[in-house]
Amino acid sequence: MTTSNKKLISLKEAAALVPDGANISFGGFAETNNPLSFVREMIRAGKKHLEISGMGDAQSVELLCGAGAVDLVRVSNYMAKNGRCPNFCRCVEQGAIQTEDYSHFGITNRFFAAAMGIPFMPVKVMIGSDLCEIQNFDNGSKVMEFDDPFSGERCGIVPKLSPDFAVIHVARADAEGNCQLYGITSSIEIIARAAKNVIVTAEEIVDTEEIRRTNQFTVLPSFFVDHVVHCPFGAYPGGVFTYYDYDLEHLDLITRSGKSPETMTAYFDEWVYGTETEAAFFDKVGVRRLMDLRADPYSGVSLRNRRQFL
Amino acid sequence: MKHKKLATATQAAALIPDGSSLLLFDGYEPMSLIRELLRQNRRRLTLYSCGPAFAASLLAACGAADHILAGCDSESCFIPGALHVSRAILNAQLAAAVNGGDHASVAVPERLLAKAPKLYREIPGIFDTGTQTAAAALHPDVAVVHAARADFYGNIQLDPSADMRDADTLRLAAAAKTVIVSAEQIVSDDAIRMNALRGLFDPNAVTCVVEAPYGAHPTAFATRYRADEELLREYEAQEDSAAFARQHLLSSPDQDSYLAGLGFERLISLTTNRRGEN
Amino acid sequence: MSWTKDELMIAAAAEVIENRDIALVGIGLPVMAAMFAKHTTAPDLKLIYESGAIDALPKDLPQGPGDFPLLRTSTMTTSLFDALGYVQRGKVDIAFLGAAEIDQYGNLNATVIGDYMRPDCRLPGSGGANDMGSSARKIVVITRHLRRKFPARVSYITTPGFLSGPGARERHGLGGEGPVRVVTDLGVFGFDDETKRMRILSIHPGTSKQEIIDNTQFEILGMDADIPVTAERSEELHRLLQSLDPQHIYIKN
Repeated sequence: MTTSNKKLISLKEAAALVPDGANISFGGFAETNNPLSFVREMIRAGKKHLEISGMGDAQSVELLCGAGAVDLVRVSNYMAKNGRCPNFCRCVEQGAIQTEDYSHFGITNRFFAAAMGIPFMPVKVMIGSDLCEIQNFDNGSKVMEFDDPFSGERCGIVPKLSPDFAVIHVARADAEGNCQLYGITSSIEIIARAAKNVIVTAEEIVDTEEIRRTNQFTVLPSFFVDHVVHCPFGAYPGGVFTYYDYDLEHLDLITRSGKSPETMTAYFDEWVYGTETEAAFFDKVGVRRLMDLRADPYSGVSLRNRRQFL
Repeated sequence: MKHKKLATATQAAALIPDGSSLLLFDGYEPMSLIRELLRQNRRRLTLYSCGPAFAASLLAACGAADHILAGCDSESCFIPGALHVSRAILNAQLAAAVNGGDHASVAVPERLLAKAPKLYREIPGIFDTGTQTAAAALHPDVAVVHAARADFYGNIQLDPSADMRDADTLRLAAAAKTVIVSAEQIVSDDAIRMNALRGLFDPNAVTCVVEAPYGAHPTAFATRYRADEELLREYEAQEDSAAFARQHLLSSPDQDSYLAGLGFERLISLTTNRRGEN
Repeated sequence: MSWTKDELMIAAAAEVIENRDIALVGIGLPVMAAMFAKHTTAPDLKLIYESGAIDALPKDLPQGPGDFPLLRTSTMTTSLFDALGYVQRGKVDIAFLGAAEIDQYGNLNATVIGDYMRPDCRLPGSGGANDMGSSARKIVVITRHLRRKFPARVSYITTPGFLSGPGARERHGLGGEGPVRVVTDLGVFGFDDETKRMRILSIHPGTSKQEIIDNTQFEILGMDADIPVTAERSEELHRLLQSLDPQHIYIKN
């Protein structure tokens, strides 16, 4: 555990902490709260051979697959806004990455066991299906049928899963690493509590006083967090509830670019390798576009993008 | 009958022709509109500035304003070329207009009676013998205000985290014939309802609304961002303010390119609260 | 004006919802089915989303299970772990699923076509589908009726229907009743109580028996007998349904 005054670091410093081959998890759910600034920074740094375990991390994994950074994926569900994730699917179909399939609840329970400091969790999911019958690189360490020793009830058990790194994007954090999020939390707090090293990217850094004053929004206490990074718009082109909506056009651009390795490389050349920092990336996206994506305080959507504007 | 009041900065600026009198409020300065006026080379404006509005200094420095009346309490408040009175006096003059009177009964110092007899004079007392001082009611042509949130229909609000003590002063905008508002963010009806305690004006009195994120830059907007101190210090240090302004504040054709020129990093570094929320 | 295929599917799916059900919805036509039911026969229906949005009443149609319009009007916003925990506990009465493949026992495939280790086609994966299929009381599958989607046995069981047949779910300790309806653009299907194989319940107006047979790789029970035509509801209900999706976000056909 680092001392508190070393927790607040830059995005580049944080990305540098993740070695090639790391077992890493990203938080998020569908189009929200994905730590995409961090992922872009990892791609700029040329990370390779990653082992990814996650839940709701489609956007992060899709970009990393497109960049050829991934060897193994524990996958539950990857959907782009309008269909499959083309980079992920192509990598699997071409044998470039290996997969181990879980259900949402199944893999979350593996994280939960680690988060709770226990060796396994009993579940009533995955068993009976090919999620249990077919085991790849997690063979023997995935899920097995089990009879409750007390009642004899048939269930399944899943072993704990503790990633080397968890990277989660939150709304607000203080320099200590107390994290706040509005709306749904997906499973980020469980993933963070399971992991050995936790990196938090936050829309805003606030004083601890402020955290105490609004503690009903705190989802993770500081002692689970190793590093904190100020990352405004850090989930773009995804959204963060009450901050900004997702950018459907840019999401579709990524999906379209994923159709072939060449077009994906062209996307990365233009948007990721071609922008040295996230600040440069956001200048390319355009301040105007980011302002247009700001969330309506009530509904959380961008009025320009989702409602009839004038 | 509601109707939609969203306008562009260009459309709003067209409502402020040469020779207009303009009411400004320190801390709620619609710099994007002011820049548009200066780009269009406005002249012979009369300015009423509640507090030391940078916009007033800038308009004065660029030669756009002929007469300036500034209501300030601090010694350090100084707008070149302005007649300086206390905030209480200027506010009273505007309030008199709002209330339909032709003057405000307010204590006016000797120097002003001498300096500006068209605005400040001695008149007979009414309830006791002797005299009282009176300040003329002011009816600006246009009040321009930068606010936090607005909807399409002219509902204008400060942020939930705002200190509402300024609201009373801001409501003096009603003294003006036309009220033009720029807002950090256009929001939905539901959002307006959710934040109802922070309403500023009767929507019927608002002529148009211009969406302007970071619209007070380089001044501060208390609930969202600091003043751009670096830029303001540089401006203050110049011999030729107008030339500096032309190069650094007026060179972009519109607010979008102005913000693009400042860049993401700089804007974020000034931002203290992304949403203006508690 | 006659009902479109999408509209018939929505109404047929909505029919399975009982008032006071707790339904888990994701994206697509099931969202419309739930909203239609809530406006008609099941006003006390509560919707939960696997994202953790509980009992939302969104003004705007959500465009995903974690979509922002759901969050302001939910009674509670929690985690996916909580929401799927409610499912495992048996609190969810009805869940709607789609699939790339469905077989005669109602098993669903959303993972791979071909060999798992090197598939011909990699699909999105289970998500919460297996979780729902394992524990929700009633499962309703909504899907297009195409031959390639209706194999005799799916190439990968992502979500358990009746697995290999009667008794299999129970042997594996699964909860819920399993799939109760399959709603397609050709007809509405259920499952035989004894054999747990798919059985036709109604055929949509304008669809022939042969079309269904041609688009299914296995024998559906009940095709020989007289098959009722899927009922079109009243014009009033038709207008109501259309009013729920004015921008055609979900109702496209």
